[in-house]
Amino acid sequence: MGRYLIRRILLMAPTLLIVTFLVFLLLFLSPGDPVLMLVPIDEVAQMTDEEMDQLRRKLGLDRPIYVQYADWLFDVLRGDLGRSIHQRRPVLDLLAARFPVTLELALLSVFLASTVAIPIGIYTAVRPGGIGDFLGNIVALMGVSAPNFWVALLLIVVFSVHLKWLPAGGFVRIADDPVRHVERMILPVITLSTALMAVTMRLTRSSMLEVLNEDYVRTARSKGLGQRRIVFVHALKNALIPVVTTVGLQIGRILGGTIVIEIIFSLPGMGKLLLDAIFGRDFPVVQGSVLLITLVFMSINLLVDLTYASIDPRIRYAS
Amino acid sequence: MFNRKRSVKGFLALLALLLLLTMPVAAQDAMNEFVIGVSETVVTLDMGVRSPSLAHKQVSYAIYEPLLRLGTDGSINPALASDWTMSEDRLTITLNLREGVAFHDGSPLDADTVVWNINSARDPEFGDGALPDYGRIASVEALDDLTVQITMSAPDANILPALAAGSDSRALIMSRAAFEALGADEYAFNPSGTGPFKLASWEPGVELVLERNQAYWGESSGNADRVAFRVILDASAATLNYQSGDVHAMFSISAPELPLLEAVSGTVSGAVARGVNVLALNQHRPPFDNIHNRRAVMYAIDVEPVIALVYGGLAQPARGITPPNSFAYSDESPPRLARDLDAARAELAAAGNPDAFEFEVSVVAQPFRIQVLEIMQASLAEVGIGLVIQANERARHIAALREDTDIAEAGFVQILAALSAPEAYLGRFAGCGANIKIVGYCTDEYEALVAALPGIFDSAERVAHIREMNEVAWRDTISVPYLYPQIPYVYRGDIIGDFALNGYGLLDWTNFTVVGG
Repeated sequence: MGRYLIRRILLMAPTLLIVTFLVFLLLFLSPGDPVLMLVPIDEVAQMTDEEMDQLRRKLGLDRPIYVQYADWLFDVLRGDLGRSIHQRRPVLDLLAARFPVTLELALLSVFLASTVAIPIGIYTAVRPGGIGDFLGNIVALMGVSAPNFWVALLLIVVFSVHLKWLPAGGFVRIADDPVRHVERMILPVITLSTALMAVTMRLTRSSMLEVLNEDYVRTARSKGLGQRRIVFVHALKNALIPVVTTVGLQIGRILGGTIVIEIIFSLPGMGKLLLDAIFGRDFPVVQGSVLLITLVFMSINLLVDLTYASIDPRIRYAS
Repeated sequence: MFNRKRSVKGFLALLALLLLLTMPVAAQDAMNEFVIGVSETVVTLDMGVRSPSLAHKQVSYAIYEPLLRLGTDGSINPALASDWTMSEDRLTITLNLREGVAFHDGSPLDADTVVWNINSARDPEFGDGALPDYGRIASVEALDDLTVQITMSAPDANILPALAAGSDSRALIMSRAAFEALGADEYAFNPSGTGPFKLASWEPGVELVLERNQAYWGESSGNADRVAFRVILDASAATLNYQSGDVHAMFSISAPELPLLEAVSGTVSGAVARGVNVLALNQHRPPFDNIHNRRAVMYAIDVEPVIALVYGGLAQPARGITPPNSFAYSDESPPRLARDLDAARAELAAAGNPDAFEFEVSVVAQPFRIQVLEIMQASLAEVGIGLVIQANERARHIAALREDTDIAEAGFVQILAALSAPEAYLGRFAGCGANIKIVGYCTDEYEALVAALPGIFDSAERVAHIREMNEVAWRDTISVPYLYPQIPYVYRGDIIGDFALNGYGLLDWTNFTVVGG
């Protein structure tokens, strides 16, 4: 197990190197001068060519691509992710400000989705064809079908515009005001967890149904074990393996893809930062964000793999 | 194993927390404050760095002040300089600074600080590089604590508007003491100016809060203590924020959202003209190297449906490239853009292609811009001219306008440049040294007019000269200016006393009043 873990961690380095090089290359190949992108679209006549050349030189964008990449790589090894071309701030500062917001959003959404969806999934599997199962299926179908932005706007209309219970958007750091922070996270978390809740519920239900029809469950029943013990002790652990995989992957997906939620609720997360950086050809921010997201994604994958072993004792990792 | 008592307690605690969280959020502290919703992010408040979004300009002019202030009629008025003189040969400007003015960090405004500011703006290594508006300044020196002398290498009629930060906010005056103490990176988030408001807090990309500068040197009739700028990028979400009462004022509103905002109780709405929309025609190659083809497009475009459908009526057909909020605008000539299909057909015949032609227009792939071109497409089709929409990503569109004239035969351009410097929209749009390369209009006559402009100091002569440039541009149909857009704004009149934007689209920070405050 220990050697397996070390091998997996060591394998992360070449993966990160390849990913960052490919992203750098793709950004370089895609048309668009980062300095041109500093010109506001409605003031496109304003900046002179001389100003652009000065800026290009100051930002180091007049150097060959391989020099830019090598410099970036050496700086990364020294813990410096460079400076944003557009925001004129160290990339590390930007990521430090944005990543915790997205991480919090992702973890809370997954937590909410799991705590609601898994029990409902179990309940509907235990009583298939009942009214609970029927309602659960309908809610799950709605959750999967409703797009994020629509759910978000609907929640704002109900809870902010009509009931005036919660703010329509904005963000307050938890250290500044915990209550106002929580108020502003409720609607985004509910929005983000809706689809995940539906998927997790459906997956838990189908996985549970499959396990409940296994021979060992039938044997347990014939031995006279109670339903609660069969479901929670014997069936659930096996049924949770695909659920854990999905939830784990969803955390990774959310970390890189909460853009719509961030825009609608005015949250300072990673998604918007990365999107703006890609459209703005802000190489250092794209590279820094990709590096971080890849690292987190690989760590989650590793964690999910390790979780399998704790859920299912039959799974052991060879060194 | 299952502790029922503990579970009940936990449930009650959770319920109490939920009740606490779901209490109405409108409760604010007793300060006079309001929130403005903006669709753009302020990136930096270091005035050495370019970040010319409208939101950035509003915040900059709240925190900072220029040496001189520009009137919307083009007049130059005192600001941090109480008066000034210009030598007979127009080569020396002497500015007398106000006494007793302090920056937000407590440091005094003095001649050395002003000299440092102007020299920094001229330094290619400072911030984003040298400010072109200061290109003719030869040297700056402090004559005493409150007197600054600027020596020019050549007369420049645009120098006073430039010192008034008329076209570039990089001419606003920063605290040298704060900048040097903090360094550029820190200063960008802890700015220090002399303006009526100072920075209270800032969560980049989310909200920026300004608070009243109690030590402001000037007169201020408003009673607002705090003004917050909340960034809401999505138009629908912004409208919902306004409807819910979380936001009390907005500007740069898209036309479809305006009626929804106006329907909110207590709302006052208005609009100010700002800039001009132009179909920039590529004269480097056919078909627009031929003036008759350019004129055919000008006559065939029907701009009224564009104004009605896309701008919700908040625009007017253009009459030349100088917009109505410019001091040089004339409402007599050139003629307003009006559709004339017979004239369009006659121009096509004169160009030798009565069967018309097809051309591609580069545009940023944004719905409202594409909608404008779709309407034009329909109107041009009536004379057989085919308009092909080339919806580009922003980078490629800017390249089409500024770098690669092979990308498209035309480009969608919106010029919102400051109006104090006519070169910004006349010289930089067209002419041999223009920044918009796609147009490619370069004649001796126009070039002489562009070159002569900095040497004309008399305001009446200056207006006449700019109008002449405008006439030449229209006569040669260098492109097709088709409408003057307006910036709509709304505010809750039952909360904010006055929220009008001036001719430059800027807020009056000395006049913000909270009703009943």
